[in-house]
Amino acid sequence: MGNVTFNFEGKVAIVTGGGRGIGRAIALGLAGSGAQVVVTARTQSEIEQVAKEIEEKGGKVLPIVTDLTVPAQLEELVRETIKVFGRIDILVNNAARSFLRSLLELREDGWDKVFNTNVKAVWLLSRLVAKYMIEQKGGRIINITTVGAEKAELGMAAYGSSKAALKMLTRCMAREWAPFGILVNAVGPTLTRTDFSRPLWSNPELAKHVASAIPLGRIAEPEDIVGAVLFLASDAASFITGQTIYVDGGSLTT
Amino acid sequence: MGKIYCGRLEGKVAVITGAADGIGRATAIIFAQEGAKLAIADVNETGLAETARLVREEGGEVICRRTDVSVEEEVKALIDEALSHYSCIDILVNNAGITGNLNSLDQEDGSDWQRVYGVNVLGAVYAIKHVAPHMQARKKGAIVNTASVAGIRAGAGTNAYSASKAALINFTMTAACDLGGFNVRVNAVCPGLIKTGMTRPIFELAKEKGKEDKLGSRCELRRYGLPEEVARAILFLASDDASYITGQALPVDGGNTASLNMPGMKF
Repeated sequence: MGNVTFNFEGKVAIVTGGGRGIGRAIALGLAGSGAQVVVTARTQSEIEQVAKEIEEKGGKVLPIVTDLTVPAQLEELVRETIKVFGRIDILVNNAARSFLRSLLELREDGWDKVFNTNVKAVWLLSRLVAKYMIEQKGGRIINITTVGAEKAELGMAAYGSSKAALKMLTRCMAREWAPFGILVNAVGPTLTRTDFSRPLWSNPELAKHVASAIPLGRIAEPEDIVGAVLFLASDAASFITGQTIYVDGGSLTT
Repeated sequence: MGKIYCGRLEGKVAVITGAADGIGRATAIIFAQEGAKLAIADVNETGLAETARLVREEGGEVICRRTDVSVEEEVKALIDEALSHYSCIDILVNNAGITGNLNSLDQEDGSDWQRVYGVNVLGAVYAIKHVAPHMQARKKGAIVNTASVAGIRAGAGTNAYSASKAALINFTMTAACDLGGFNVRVNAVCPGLIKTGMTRPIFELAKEKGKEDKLGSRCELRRYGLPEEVARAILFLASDDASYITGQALPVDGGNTASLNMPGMKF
């Protein structure tokens, strides 16, 4: 990619799960287009590495360690963002959890962890941020979901169900916050080459099988997901809300 | 609205049908601003010439051809002319569409459905049929079809129009699946209520009844959209920013299809 030309000068963005994979690519994409970016995740060393990369390219960035399942830390994240940058224009809810388990094997606390991060934390953080966006008379929230929100896959029951819930939460936030000029949409990747999904693509035979089921003939790279997020965060998407753009190489066509 | 992108389509060649007005015209102008060279088509030659004038005003290069997209030879001639003039086609926007009559089903003898399907469905089929071999050979290409929210739900158009747009959405998926292996992407946009020549009767009726403020009230943003807002979504899907997106039908509808939107519900 590298040639994205959306302009986010003067805008402030928060990217959760920004330490690696898709979140890292989104943070770099936003910063590369002029946004000041708060990169947050649980692992300090990873977000500091991303911050370093952004700073080396002349971008403005603030790494903040956050456990999204602790409400007090969500408040701290938003407070610190406002303290340093003074506003929040774009929130990318990218952080997610998953356990590759069958429904018969998945533990109850595993289900809760998945839903707490993928759904509840998105609701809580989004409404903290929305309060500032309402004052600012507008903003953009982009939730990262998955093709698994539409179609079932083995071992992905909690993850897929939570992302389907997030898809509806996207619509509900769009519905409730439209009067305030807050547009809320989702981006749904297919299998993407990240640490998060390593078990699914690191086996060459399995990876080949998966790629052959995708019309564009390959799985996604983290950079593939960035364009849709930047588009939805930009003025170009001024009449789009409550929608999901699947960045899936055509996975959902069959 | 000012320019948002810059040079997104530098060096690309785009064919746009239904370019005499509304979304097609806005797409042509924005594509030209982004650096694309254009071949534009419509049955309305006066409107087409005006679009071409506006494109040249932006410094764009454009050729025009009167084309009834429901006639395969005319579509083939359009693609052939674009290819002989520019020697390649990177982007095809199947935007031509008609609304059909407000016939109730008991009056319908099939002729209106055939006319609407001829333009809205077969128009896209013919264009993709004739451009696909070229794009497949080059192992790249982006196609965007203008569908409609009417293709997703009821109450947004005539029976024939809605069914034709649903067909176009499904054809978007099947074509995306067939052409994906050649790195040719096929997507659709689904506009909600947009102020264009096609929707002029709706706007005039609302004005007559003094209900202009109700226009767009069915969507969450409580307004109608502008052609440019759809054109920018078409631009995104046609651009390399969307290089891994195919088979999608993206509503550009102010949230219309995302909610039940029951009147009077308040919290």
